[in-house]
Amino acid sequence: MSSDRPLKKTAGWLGAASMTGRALTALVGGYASAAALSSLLARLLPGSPAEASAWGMIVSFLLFACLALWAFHERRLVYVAAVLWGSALLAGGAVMALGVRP
Amino acid sequence: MPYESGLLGYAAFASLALAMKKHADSLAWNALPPRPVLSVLGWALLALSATVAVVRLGPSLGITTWIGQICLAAPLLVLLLSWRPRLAAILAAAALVCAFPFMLL
Amino acid sequence: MRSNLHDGSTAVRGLRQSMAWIHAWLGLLAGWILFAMFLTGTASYFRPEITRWMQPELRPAHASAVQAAQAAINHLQATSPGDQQWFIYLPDDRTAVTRVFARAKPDPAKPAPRRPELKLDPITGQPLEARDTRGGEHFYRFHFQLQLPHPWGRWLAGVCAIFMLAAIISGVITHKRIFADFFTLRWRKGQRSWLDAHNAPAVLALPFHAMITYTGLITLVAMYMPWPVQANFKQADDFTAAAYGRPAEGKASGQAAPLLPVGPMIQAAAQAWGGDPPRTIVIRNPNDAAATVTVLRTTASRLNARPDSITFSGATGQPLSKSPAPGPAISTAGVLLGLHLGHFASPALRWAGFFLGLIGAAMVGTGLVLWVVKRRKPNAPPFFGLRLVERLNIGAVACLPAGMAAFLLANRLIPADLPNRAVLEVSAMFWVWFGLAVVSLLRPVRRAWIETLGLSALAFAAIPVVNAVSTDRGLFNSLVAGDWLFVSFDLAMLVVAAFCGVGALVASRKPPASPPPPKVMVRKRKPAPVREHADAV
Repeated sequence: MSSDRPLKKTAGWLGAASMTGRALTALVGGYASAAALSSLLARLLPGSPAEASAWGMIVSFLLFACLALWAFHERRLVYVAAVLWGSALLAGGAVMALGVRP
Repeated sequence: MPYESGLLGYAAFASLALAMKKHADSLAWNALPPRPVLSVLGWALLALSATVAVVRLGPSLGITTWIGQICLAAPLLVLLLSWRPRLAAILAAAALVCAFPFMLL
Repeated sequence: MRSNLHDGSTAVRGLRQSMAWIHAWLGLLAGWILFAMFLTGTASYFRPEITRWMQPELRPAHASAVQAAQAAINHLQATSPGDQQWFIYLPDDRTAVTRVFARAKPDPAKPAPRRPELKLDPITGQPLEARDTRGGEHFYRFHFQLQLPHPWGRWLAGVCAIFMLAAIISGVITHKRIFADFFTLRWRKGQRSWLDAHNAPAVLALPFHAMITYTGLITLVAMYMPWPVQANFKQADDFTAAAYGRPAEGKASGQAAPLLPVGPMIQAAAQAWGGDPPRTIVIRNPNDAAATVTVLRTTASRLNARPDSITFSGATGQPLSKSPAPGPAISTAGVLLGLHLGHFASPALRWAGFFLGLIGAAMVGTGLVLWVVKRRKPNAPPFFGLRLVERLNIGAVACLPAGMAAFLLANRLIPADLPNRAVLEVSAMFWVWFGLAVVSLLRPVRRAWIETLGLSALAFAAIPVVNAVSTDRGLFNSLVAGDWLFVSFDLAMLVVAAFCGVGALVASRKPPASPPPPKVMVRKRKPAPVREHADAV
């Protein structure tokens, strides 16, 4: 499986740019994704809204750390970027579309 | 704080460590119980130390205190074991002996 | 064609390699700041005790909650009865003083400066005269604000904390022999010893490190991750009201009414809480008909650090509202907060936390040293990054203790009546910390480690001496008087000095002789750039 091999070293400026992109995606994209996913969780969990928001906040850091670590494990940068930025946009969009809980 | 829980934890870790060949060899004692016995004893003492803490302090404070105690007992055991293995083992026996009167109190 | 078994183990090997790589980067980038956060956080377990040691003029005076609260209110009534809010932090067996903070009514014509916090005698309510100092607050605030302006300090601390969390997870994944090597600690074996020295404190106290890291993030979750709240509430205040009850923000009615004695209110609250005393009283619009008195429960009696509260009318004494019983999620968040703050801990458990914090600092420090040791090649000159990390390690790990000792020494050495001395004490810590780090650049690396750790040891050992010489509460006097706080503080300084001394000794040990070069000539290969090594552990 192509994802089994560790990160391949690419020489020169392309390697540096690729690693910078990966780091930014992991840090910023990972944060955005974790924030969006935990917000969606908070919005959709049944029961008291305060409780749901609290659960969302509690799990968010674990989500962030795992997403960011995965970003450095998965070999294909395009796949990583698609998953992290994509989930951030989709989940974030869903939360905004749903609006604040009535 | 129920110190007997910490003492049992130290003895538990000593038992689990001596159940491993490389640490038992560092003692060079013939009188050690067989390794499977030490392993079972270690786990049993660990469970007992947790039980004692929970009985004394209730579930949430008990588990918290127990985890704090074993997180200190384990490094202490490892330091002693690497520096003076026989002392580490003797202290484990002493800890076990000291713990039981406290438990009955 | 590979069998499934092969694919599985190849996948695991790939995961271990990638996690080893990212673990080293996370630890390197955040390690220096994390070490400082661990040391100052560990000190913060004894925040009120440090403050009391740093004001030796004050003698503990014990008063009941009712007595202390009413005495403080009487003082505030005498000095500023027209205030908008009074915050009264009642003394407990650790703090021994009443702290009050008063906020004046906002006057658009003349914006009033923020008034400083006052320390009052618990029995008489009179302001206490003692040397001006930040006390334990300094270490506590540095721990999560890093002496940087708001909000940058907290953000940087948060980034380091999430790096720590990821480092813990990646560290566990990459540690191949976590069970086989559980009790392993090999001395005098060079790189392997440093690896053991890093793995042992990390793995053996792993539950503590994971807990303290995660709960640390949770303490500032409202700042770091407000989005789940925004998904359900238009305003953050609505969430706070739903979760903890709406604070009685009522406006002043303009009608004057004397503030009733708070004794009965405190007693009613204590009864509702099964005997738990209050720790804080918040009075809004005192001496107004719409005055409210909110009594907050102590957090020392259980894990959840979010205090229950009951609000009474200040003019009639009737209970108006109380905080709602928290649901499972809010309770969980409260417990996570409480685990980090450690208010619930008995003195013995607090000492346990102190040593666990030092073990955490050891984990970070040995990790930083391991990074260098792994990349130092015996026959090659060190590359620039290696030299930079070596020097930063000395500055961050060996010089910070000296700085912390300097803060405490400055407290005794700077004259007690000097104005602005609190700022001078704080400056002393940073001048000594960074100054020593700069001076250490002049020394070869190995000597720098020995000398800076040695100086840190001397600085800590000097604290009880300076204490005995400059105050009447030295170790001997305190033993005679049975003043266990001062006794244990001075003894703790000696223990810390011993740790620094042991560090200096370890640094002075000659590294094991490197093996002789192989006799067979090998074809010269270009050495691979060390950065790219996926370190198999």
